[in-house]
Amino acid sequence: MIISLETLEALVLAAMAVTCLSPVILIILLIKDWLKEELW
Amino acid sequence: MDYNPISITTALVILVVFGAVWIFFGWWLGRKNKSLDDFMLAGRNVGLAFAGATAMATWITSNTTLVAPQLTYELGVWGMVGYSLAALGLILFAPMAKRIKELMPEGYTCGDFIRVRYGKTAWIAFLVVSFCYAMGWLVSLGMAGGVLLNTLSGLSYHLGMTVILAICVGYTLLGGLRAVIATDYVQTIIIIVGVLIIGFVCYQTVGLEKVYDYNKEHHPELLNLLFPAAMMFLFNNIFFGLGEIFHSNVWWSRALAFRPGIGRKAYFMSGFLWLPIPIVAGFIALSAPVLGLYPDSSDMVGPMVAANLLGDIGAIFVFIVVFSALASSLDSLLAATSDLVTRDIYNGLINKKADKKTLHRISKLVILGLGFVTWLLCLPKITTLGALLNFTGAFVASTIWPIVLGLYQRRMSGDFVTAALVLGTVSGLIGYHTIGFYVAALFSCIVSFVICMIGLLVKNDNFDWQRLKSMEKTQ
Repeated sequence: MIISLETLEALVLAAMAVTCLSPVILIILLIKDWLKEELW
Repeated sequence: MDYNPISITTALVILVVFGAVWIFFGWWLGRKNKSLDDFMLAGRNVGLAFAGATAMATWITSNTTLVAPQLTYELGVWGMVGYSLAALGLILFAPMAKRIKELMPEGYTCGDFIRVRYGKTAWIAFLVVSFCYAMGWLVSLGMAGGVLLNTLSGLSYHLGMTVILAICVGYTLLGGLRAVIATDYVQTIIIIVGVLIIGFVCYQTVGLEKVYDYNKEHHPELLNLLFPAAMMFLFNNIFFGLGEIFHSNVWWSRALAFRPGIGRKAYFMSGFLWLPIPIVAGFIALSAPVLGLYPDSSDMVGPMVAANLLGDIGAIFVFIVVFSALASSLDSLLAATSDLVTRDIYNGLINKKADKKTLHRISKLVILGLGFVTWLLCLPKITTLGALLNFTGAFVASTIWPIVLGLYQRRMSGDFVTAALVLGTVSGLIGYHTIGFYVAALFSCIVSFVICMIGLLVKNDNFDWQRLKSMEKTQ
């Protein structure tokens, strides 16, 4: 059973989209923690 | 075929620059460490940003960045998806992290938990399993550093391995867990951005449709969802990943270091954010046949595709990403294993009356000692990375059920846990040698599960959870 092109494309694009979000989320969280003085 | 897209000078410059930055960072953060809790557990008050990033970075090892493309190249779509399911370990550990912090707020290591929860015999069996795994992972990371530098730049394996180990030991020694966590944050950002750029360039330049059509015609097994070897790999990888995370002090020390209420959120978040990374890092390998790239060693398929698409800059990108991935795991493992040696072996068996100042000093000596022992074991390069890692699967999978049941079930008794650890590991090793690497973790986990279930049926330990709060000493 071969994976369809559409499924493979959806898988790769979804993975790239979530990976793009990761640094954004981490930077926002860092700024929030820093402003609240809750880094450590 | 020699494949050295980076000159030795460039490789050394990158190593010196990054090494100097990490070591300075370690020293700068280490100035705030006043107590043993500061050094071992970063003050037990780590916030969500650092907590999430350190869990992600530690789980992104050289395997994620080099082996994910390799597995996709060998096993196709299931290779990258199967690898990404290792995120289940982080996600399932999330509720356990909350439970650990609540049950033993004053605890230091996973060894503390096993000792108080199951008694001395199970504790010793657990320490043996845990050290075999920790040393296996440390040596595999040290070797990966040497192999990476040698393959990408031609720098000698021994010199590369020594420099990478020295950098990681240096900043872990100076800054303790605080330095490990802070460098992990920066390393996470570097790794994600690097992997994304390489993935995006591949997607734009080669095109997924072209990759799909070419593989469908010439390598249809790579797109086959019922590829048997890939399915076996998938199940073994899930159990291996669960065992690695559930038992290792790398993850327990973080659960104890995070501020109350943060552990569950941090592990959930890191698991879901980690999940797509092997897919992004891995899918580029599917384009290798289209580009006419057939590497001699399949773990170099990722760097080869990156270098082909981005030129020498691509190889430098891969080098920085893999170096960051290696360092983020090596430092964590050094710190967590040092805690285990200091707390469980020195304080638990050798000097039970040691004060915290003595333990702080010993902890630093242990980091140095571990670095030296790892270096010695890496020198002969006795085995391949994959073989070494798969071997440890037999050990770690035996710990899954003793840990889970120990955290949530009062009935579970130490005698059966000792049997589960020993017989589970032995079965895994027999499976590894008689059938293959892909059943080691599976056998170990199943045998350990059966023994734990028998234990639950025939004996009731009726454990008092309060004993974990007071962290009793061994008699």
